[in-house]
Amino acid sequence: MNSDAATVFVVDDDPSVRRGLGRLLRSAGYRVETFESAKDFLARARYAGAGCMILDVRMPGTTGPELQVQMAEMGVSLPVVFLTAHGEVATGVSAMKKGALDFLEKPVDDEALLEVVRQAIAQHACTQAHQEARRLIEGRLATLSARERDVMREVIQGRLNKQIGAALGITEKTVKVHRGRVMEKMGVGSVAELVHLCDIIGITPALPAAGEDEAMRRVF
Amino acid sequence: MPEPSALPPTAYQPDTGDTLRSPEFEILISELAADFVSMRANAIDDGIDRWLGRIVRTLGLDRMTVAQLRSDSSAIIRTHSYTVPGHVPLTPRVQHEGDVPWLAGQMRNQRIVLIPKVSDLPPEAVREREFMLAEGLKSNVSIPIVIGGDLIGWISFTSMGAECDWRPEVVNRLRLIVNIFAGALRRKRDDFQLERTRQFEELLSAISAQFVQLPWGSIDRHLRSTLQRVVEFLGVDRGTILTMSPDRSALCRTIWYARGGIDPVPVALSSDYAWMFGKLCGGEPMVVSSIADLPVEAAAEREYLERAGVRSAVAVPLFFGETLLGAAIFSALREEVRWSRAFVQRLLLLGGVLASALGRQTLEEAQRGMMRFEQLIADVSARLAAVACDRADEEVTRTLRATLKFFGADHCTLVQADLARGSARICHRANDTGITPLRTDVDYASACPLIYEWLFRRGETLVRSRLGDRPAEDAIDREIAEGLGFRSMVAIPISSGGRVHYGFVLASRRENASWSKEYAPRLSVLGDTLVNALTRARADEALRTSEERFRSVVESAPSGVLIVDRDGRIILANPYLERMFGYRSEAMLGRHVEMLLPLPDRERHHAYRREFISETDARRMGGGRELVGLRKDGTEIPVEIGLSPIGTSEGRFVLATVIDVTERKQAEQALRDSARRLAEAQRVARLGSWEWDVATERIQLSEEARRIVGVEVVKVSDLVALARAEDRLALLGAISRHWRERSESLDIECRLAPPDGGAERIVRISGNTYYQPDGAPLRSVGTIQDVSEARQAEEETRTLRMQLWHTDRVARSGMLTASLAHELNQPLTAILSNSQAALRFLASGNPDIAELRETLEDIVRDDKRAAAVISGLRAMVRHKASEREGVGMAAVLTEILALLRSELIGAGVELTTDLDQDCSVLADRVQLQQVVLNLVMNAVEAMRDSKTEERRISVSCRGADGAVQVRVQDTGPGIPPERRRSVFDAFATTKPQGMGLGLAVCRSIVESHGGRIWLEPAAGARGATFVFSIPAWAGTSADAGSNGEVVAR
Repeated sequence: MNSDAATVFVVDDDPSVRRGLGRLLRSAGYRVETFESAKDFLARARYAGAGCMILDVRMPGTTGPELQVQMAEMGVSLPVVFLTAHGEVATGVSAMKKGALDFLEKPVDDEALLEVVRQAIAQHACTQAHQEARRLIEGRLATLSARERDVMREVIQGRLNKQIGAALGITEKTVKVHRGRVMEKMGVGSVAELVHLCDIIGITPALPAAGEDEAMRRVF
Repeated sequence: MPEPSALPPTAYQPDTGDTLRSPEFEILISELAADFVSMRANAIDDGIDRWLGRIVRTLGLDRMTVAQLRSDSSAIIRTHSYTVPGHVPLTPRVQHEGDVPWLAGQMRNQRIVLIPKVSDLPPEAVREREFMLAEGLKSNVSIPIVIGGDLIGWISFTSMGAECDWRPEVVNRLRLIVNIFAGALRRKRDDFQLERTRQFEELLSAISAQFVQLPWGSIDRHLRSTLQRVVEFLGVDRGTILTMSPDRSALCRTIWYARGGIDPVPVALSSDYAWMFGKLCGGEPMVVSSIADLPVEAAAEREYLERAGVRSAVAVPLFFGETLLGAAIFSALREEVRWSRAFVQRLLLLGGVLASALGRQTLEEAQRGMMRFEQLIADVSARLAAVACDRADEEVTRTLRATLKFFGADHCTLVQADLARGSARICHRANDTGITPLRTDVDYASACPLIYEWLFRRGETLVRSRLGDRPAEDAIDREIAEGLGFRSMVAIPISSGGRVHYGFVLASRRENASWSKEYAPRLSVLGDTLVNALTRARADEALRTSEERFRSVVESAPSGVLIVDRDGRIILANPYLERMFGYRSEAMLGRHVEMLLPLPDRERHHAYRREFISETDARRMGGGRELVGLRKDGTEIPVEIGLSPIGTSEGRFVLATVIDVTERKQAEQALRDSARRLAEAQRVARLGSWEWDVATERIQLSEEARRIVGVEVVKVSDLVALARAEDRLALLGAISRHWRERSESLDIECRLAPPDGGAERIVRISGNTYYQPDGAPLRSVGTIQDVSEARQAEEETRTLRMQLWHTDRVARSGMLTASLAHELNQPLTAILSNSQAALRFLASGNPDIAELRETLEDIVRDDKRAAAVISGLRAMVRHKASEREGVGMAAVLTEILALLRSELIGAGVELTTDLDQDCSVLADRVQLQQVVLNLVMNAVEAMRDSKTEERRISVSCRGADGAVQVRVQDTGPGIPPERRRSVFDAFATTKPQGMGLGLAVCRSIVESHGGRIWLEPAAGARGATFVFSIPAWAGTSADAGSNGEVVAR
C-alpha cells in the first residue's frame, strides 16, 4: 500500500497539540485532517481510503474511548491509536480492551508515533484488501440460483452427489449439472478451493460466522 | 535431489495446482476443512490427534508429525505424531534446533524439504541422516507452518516402507492439509494470547480497583499478595518492590515474593548499577530477556545477574507524581522469558498502580503522624491558655502523659534547672505503666553533668536513638545509656526568661525511631507552651499573694491608712484610722477626705489635693507643718500625713498615711514598705508606670518601667531613640497625635531595641494627658507593659496555622498531580512534535522559511504556556509568608480554574463561570486560590459517585455591599441537613481519603482575610452552594505595598 495516499485523522481538543501533530505527520508525507472534537469528526463525510486515527483520551464532551465505541457501532474500521497523559492506567487498559491498536503517552516521540502510524495504516490496508476479496466472492455468490446454493452447501460438507440428490430430492444427474455451474460461477477448479472461498466469507457447513471473535483476535 | 521450493508467502493464496482428482482425497479434504473451521480453540489439539491417523491411512503413508516452535523460538516441540501400527511410534518431546540443524535452517527459510530417499540428503545434513537411518525412515517431506510471515513449526510426512518420489500434485495436496492445520493452530495461538492478555488485564483491573479502595494501613500486606499474583501469572520466579533510599543512593528491598527455594533480591541495589538506575530514573522500564542482550555499558548489571543466576528480568519504575519512589522487578531464574512489548506496557501500568498505592501510603503516614501531633499541640495550647493557676501543674502533667502516649515513650518529664545554683530537678513527670518513675529528689545537674551542661548552659537540643547497640564512645551517650539506662532520648531546653530554665525530656529504654528530627521543633513549641503556662501560673500566684499581703499590711498597720481616688473620695480606711478618728469604716467610704479636717483647713486642702493628684512623688503633706485632724467627737488630733500616689491601670489613687507625731518613725517605715510592695506588684505584672511633666519635659519611670526599658530615660526623645528604626516615626506620630487631638488616649505597641544589644522587647505604651483649664497639657501619665511573650505566642500560633494551610495545599496539589501532568503534557507534546517536524523540514533540504517561522512561534507560545502551569503549581506548593496585595478576584479565579481544567474534564464535569472583572480585594493570592481549589475539588468529589447525568460546577464572583462574593455551586447530592451545621469543623469528613480539613482551612483563611464563608440553604432538590465573601478593596495596586499595621502620618 502506498502510504502517500494514506490520511491520518487527529482528534484532540487542544489546538496546539493539533497543530504540532499535524505538522509532524505532514512532514512524514501523510495527509492530515484535524478535528477539535468527536462531533466534528463524525460530521465529516465517510472516508473510504487507507488511514488511521490518532485520538486524545481526555476531551470535554465525548471522550476518546467513547468515540471509539461509537465508531465501532457505525462500522468505521479505521485503526485507532490513543494518546494518553502519564498515569491514566484505567483508560489505557480499557482502550486496549476495546480494540485500540496501541496507546502512546504524551509527549510522544516522532519515531514511536510514525512507526505506530505506519503499522496502523498497513493493518488497515490489509483489512481493506480482505474486505475487497470478500466483496468479490460475495458478488459471485449472488449469481447463484437458490438451488445452486443448496447444492453448494451440501458440496462443502463433503457429500457425494448421490447423498446430495437424496437430501434435496433431485436426481444425481441434476446434482452434477448444478455442481458444475456452481464451480464455474464461483470460478473454482476444486471443492477444496470452494471450501476455502466459503471460509473467507464466513459460510461454514454448520455454524454461523464468528465475526466478533475474529475482530477481537486481530487486535492482539 | 529435487531443489527445495519456496513457499508462497500468503496464507490466502488459493491452491491453483493441478490436483489429483481422487474422490477419497476430496472427501478427506472437505471433511477436514469442515471439521477444523467449526472447531473450538481448546479442541484443536485433540482434533489434530484424531485426524493424523486418517490422513496417514488415506495417503498410504506411515507417519505424520507436527512440530511447533516455542513462542520464544528457543525449542522445538513435537506436539503431535501418528505412526501406523507395526512401526515404533514417536513420542512427543522437546527438541532443540541443534538436534536437526539443517532441517531447522531450511524451515526458517520457509522452504519445503523433499527427501525422496536418504541419499538425497546433502552432506551437511549429518544429524538428519543419522536420525533417518536410526528410525528406519525411507522417505520424508517436511512443510513449514507459516502464520502471518512467521514460522511457527512444520509438519513432516514420512514413509517407512518404501521410497517415495513426492510428485508436485501430491505435495500440493499436502500443502493444503498443512494450510488447514496452520489456520487452526493460528486460531489456537490467537485465542491463547487473547485469553492471556485478557487475564492479565483482569488482574490489573482487579489490583488497581483493590488499591483504590484499600484503607490506609493494610497496603503492605496487599502489596505482597499482589506480587505473588503477578509472579504466578507471568510464570516467573520472583517479584520485588524496591524503594529509593532517602539519599537516593540505593534501591532497598521492601516487599518481595519468591517461589519456594528461590532467594530474595539482595537487601539493597546501589546506584553503581548505573545503567538500570538511568533507565528507571528516566521513567523507562529495564527489560532483559536474555543476559546476552545486555548492552556493553551494563557490565555491572551483567555481572550481578550472572552471579545471582537470573536469566531474564524486567524492572519498571514506580513514579508518584514526579518522584521516583522505587521500582518493581520481576525475575526469572529457571529459564529465559521473552517480555513482549505489550506485556511491558502493561507492567508499566501495574507500576503506576503500585506507585500510587505506595505514594499514598507514604504521604498519608507522614501526614497523619504530623496532623495528630499538631492536633495535640493545638489541644494543649487551648487548654493551657485558659487554665486557672491552681490547676496548671495538673494540666502540665496531663499533657506530659498525652505526649508520652503519642510517642510511645517510657518517660516524659519537665526538668527545672536553676542556673544560678547549678541544680536541676524534675518538677513534672509522666511514665508508662509498669515503668518505675524517675526520682524527683535527685539533683540531675550533679547526676548528669554533661547533659546539664549541653542542655542548659549551651541551650542545645539533644536527640539520641539506638544507644546501647555498641559501647558508647561519646561521653554524653554514656551518661544517657549507662547513667540513666535509656536507649533513646530527646531533650529540649526551654528558656523561661529568668535564671530558671526548663528541660523537656522524652526518653525510652527501648529503641524508638518515631521522634525523628522533624518533630524536634514541634516538641519545642509544645515545651514552650507548657513552660509559658507554668510561668504564668506562678506569676498569677505571686500577684495574688502580693495583693493579700498589701491588704493585710494596710489592715493591720499601726497607723491610719487611707486611700483616696482622684476626686478625693475615700475608698479605703484601715481599723487604726477608724480608732484614730472615731468613725466606723463604712461611715467614711465614698465621702470626701475633707471630712477628716477641721473646718478652716478644708477649702485650702481642696486645692492642694487637686494639685497633688497629678504629682508623682510621695511627699509629706503640709511641708513640715504640724497638721491637725478632726475626730468624729469634734476633738482635734495632731497628725503627720504622708501622701503617695498610686498609678494603676484603673487610674490614679492617693494613699495617705496618717500617724501620730509620736509614732512618726513607725509610720515612715510603713510607707516605705508599702511603696516597695507596690513596685513588686508592678514587676510581677510586668507593668510599669510613667509620667511626663510638660513644664520640665522630663519622664519619670517607675522601677518596673525602668527595668522594661532597660536604660535610663529622661526625655521623650530618649524613649523614641530606643525604638527600632522602623517604629520610630510611628511612635513619635502617635505621641504627637495624642497631644494634638486631645480626645484620644495614647495606645501603641512598638519594639524597643536596647542599646547594649540585649534582646528586643515588644512594649505596649498607653496613657492619658491632663490639661490645664486653659487647654494646655499639664502632664501625661500612663503605663508601659512588656508584651513580648504574648506577641511571640501569637506569632507561633500564626506560624502553626500557616503550616497547616500549607500542608493542606500540598496535599491538594498532590491529588491534582495527574491532571497537572496532563495539562503540562499538552504544550510539551506540541513542542516536541513541532520541533521534530521542523528538524524534518530542515532535513528535507528545501525548507519553507515561512512554515519554519510559524513552527518556532508555536513552540515559543507553548513553552510559555507550560511555564505558566509550572509556576501556578509552584505557587501552591511553596511555603512562604502571607503576602497581602490588591488582587483582581476574576484573575485569581481564572488562574486556579485553569490549573483545574484537566481534572474537571477527567471527572466529566462541565464548568461555567460568571466573573465580574471589577472586583478587587486585599488578599494573599495563593491562599484565596487554595480556598477556591478546596471548594471546587470538594464539589468534584461530591459528584464523582453521583448518578446524575449532569455534572456542572458554576463559579461566579461579584461585588455586593462593600464586599466581594464568590459562589461555587455544584449539581451533586448536596449536604444532608444534619451535617450542614458542622461542615466547616475540622475532621468532619465523610470522604474515605480526605483529612476533613478542606473546609476548616477555607474558613480559617477566609476569616483571616476579615471575611466569612457559609453554605447557602438548599435551593431545589440537588447540589450544594458554598459562598465566601471578603471586604472589597478600592485601592490601586500602587498602594498595595504600604499596608503595615502602623501607618505613619
